[in-house]
Amino acid sequence: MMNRKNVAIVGVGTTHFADLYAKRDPARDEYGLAADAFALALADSGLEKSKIDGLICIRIPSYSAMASYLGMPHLRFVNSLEAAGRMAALAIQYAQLLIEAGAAETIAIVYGNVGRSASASYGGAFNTKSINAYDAMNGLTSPGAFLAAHFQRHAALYGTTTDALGRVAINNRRNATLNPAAVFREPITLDDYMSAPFIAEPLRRLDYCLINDGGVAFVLTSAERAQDLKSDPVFISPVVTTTDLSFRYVSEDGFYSAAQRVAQQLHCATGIKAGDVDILQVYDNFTPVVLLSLEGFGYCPLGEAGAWVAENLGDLPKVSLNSSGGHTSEGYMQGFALIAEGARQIRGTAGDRQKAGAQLAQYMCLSPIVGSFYLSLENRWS
Amino acid sequence: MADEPKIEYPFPAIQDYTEGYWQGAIGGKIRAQQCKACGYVRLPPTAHCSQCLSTRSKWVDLSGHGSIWSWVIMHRPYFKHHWQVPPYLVALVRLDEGPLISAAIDADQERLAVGKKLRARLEEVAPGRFLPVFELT
Repeated sequence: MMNRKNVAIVGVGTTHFADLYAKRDPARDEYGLAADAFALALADSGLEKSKIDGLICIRIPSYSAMASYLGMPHLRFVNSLEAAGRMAALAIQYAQLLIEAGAAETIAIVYGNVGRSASASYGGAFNTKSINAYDAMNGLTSPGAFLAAHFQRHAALYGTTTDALGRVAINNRRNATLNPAAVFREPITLDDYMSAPFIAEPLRRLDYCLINDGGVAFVLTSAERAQDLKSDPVFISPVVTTTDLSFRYVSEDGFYSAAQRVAQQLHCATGIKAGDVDILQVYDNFTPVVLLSLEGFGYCPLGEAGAWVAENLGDLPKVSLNSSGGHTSEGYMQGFALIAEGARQIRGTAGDRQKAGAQLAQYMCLSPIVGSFYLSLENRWS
Repeated sequence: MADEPKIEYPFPAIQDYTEGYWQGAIGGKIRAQQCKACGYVRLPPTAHCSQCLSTRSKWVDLSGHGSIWSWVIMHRPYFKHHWQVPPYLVALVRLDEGPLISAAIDADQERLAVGKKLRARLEEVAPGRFLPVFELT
């Protein structure tokens, strides 16, 4: 392994998603939500704001306005990433690489989302000059529809049933009951799941992520600087990403081989295996993605995620997966809140939902950009 | 589906490199571009070949035969004006010549299965706009 400068998350901040959901406000903006989360992350880190020399913005209209809003006009590095869930692992990866390379020493990642207050929707809109128009003319425009098609294929090839999706949705909701900031905290049953209306059949409403408002922020710095800070640094393994890109949300093998490549590279870089992980934070814009991720990242063999979920996510779950409620119950912060939860579990600060003795968390995102990494209190990746 | 009302709807723009596709459809054929430089067959139409980046291509009529890659039933209206009325069935179809396209299927869901063979007919769903609708063979 090359000689690397280790990087840690030293500050985590999230807004109260449930309160924001209860009070829809068309005047709310991304800057304010990101700033709320950043203030919390900065306080958590114990760093002076002046120590931040890099800023990565996600789902923020202007990085320039964001930096100005936060009173950080003179940075060594700043940029924006598009408003997509696949950006969460990339944001961590960029911060890690920038700090390793010495381009910045302490980076803030800020995410702001006014999806609910701004009435964001997915599906429908398309550019008639784009290649996607050839799918849209057939009524196929939303990521949910494409994921539904992937699940249909999985069901056909491996006999997976929608019960498995229901278990994922129920597991998320059960976890959310222990998270006061989660948007949806009423437990659901398999009957509730099955009686939810179809959106893109075979997917039902409870397979879909929420659209809500919120902010998430992180402060990352080098292991060296992290030593002097008041809160526990959460060390980040090498972030591994790869792609399976197409003009549409389709992968020939359901992103399986892409996720396998990431899993193998992560294993080579860290020596960690799926069975070593205590906390699984799985990107779940739609519940089938959890099944595809469990297979792709090596938690079970290809085609066996339905059985894995039945075994491990029953009424008394054997595995901690999306412990804060995931995108279908906590809120859809496009992966960023899943990473925040992973860091909190590792620090032992996850409140009522804390898993005793949690030492190692994995963030997994299966999408056209697949990304994954581990989190640990142990500085084990230098 | 042939009996459904034909409603005005935003279709893909007709550009110099897409015109041949729509002309072929009027003639009852699914057409693809074949790259004149490397022979790669591509659909939907694009200005460049994704393999060799050549902009020179010719139109070839495809067989209209393919098989089911997957399908969904859309239960929500995503457009104010759409030729399909929810719930409607839309499939991803692997054409025998290679491209993966989305299209309507004129069959009951109970009869569908991944890999099942299909044959296309071209149907005028709006004035001058002929889209493939697949039937089981």
